[in-house]
Amino acid sequence: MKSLKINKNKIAIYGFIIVVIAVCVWAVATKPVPQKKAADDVKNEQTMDYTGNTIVEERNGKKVWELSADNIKMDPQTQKAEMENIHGKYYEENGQILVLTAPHGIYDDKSKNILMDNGVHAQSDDGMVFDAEKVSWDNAAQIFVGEGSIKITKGDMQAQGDRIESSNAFLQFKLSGNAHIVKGRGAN
Amino acid sequence: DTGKPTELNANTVEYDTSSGVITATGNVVMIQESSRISGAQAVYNSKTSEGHITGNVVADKENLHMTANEVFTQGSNMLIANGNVVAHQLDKTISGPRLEYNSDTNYALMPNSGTIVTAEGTITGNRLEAYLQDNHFIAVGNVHITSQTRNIDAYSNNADYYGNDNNKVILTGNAVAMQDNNTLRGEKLTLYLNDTGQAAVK
Repeated sequence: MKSLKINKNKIAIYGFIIVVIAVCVWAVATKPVPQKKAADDVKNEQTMDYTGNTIVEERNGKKVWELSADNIKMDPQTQKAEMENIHGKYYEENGQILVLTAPHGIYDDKSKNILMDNGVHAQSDDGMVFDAEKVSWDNAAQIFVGEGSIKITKGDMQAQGDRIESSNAFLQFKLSGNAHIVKGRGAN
Repeated sequence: DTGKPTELNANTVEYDTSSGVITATGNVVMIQESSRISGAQAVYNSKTSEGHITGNVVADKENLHMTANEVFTQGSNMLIANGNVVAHQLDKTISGPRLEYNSDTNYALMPNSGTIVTAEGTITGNRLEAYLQDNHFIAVGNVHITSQTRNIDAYSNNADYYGNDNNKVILTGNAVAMQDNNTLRGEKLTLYLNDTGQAAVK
């Protein structure tokens, strides 16, 4: 009877040892491997978010651009700011002001170039109205370039085309690609 | 009529809002009221309503169809065409180095020589005027008139041709008219061109 009891103890001890070993193996096997962070995640963490801020750009002490947006995400490395719901003002040398709005855009602080897209609307204080899918400002060349479904009206002039270029806030412009202009009463 | 809509279509259009000048380049089509002018390039001043179209120009205005090297427009009723000008209107063809045409009065002037061809025949001169509505043509200098239908060949310094009603031509200055084997000379000859194909001379 006594020997039966000893066997039972031995079995219990062996069982306990097996369980402990199993737990150790499990712990080692399922140890979470540290994930290598995706490059974007790393980068995002470094961007600085501004809400309701304005970027102002001057040239020779004169204001040239004033860009405000609901949200500006500046990347210090590329020095590019991604903007949402932009409201921009361009101050032409002759005093004329061009007001531009766009759902999205990018401001490059290094080159001072600006890109607005997803449907840009612009209006000047002398009655010019302008729409395009995308508008870019080339700071070095001091040129506006509009692309996609261009439509521009002013007084009794209405023009359309695929692409437009202007160096003076559309006081003069060059339309290319299916260019069409109507001038005179009944133009629009 | 300044202010009536003028439309330009092209590969490229440049516009200066202060001067009002439009420059169109490549496959240009300029449309003003009932006139349609196509060419390689066009410059249009919307303030003065003056246009200049160059490069294989084709102009259509009501029932006038014209081709030329270049065309100037003043307003929507005045066309001035230069270089290899050929204009067709109904049964008439007008050709010469320069044509000035007013669509309001349907009057054409060829100041630097020209030829008018109608179903009746041909009239050529150093200077030609055509009142197209009335079929009335005035030719000045080195006038030459031929009519196949009447077998007429005539020369003079000047000629005044009335096509519609009276159908006659008045030749003045060194006038010579030949029909079949008859030849007539005089300072002034009036040829009555009746329907039988004969010409009576006074």
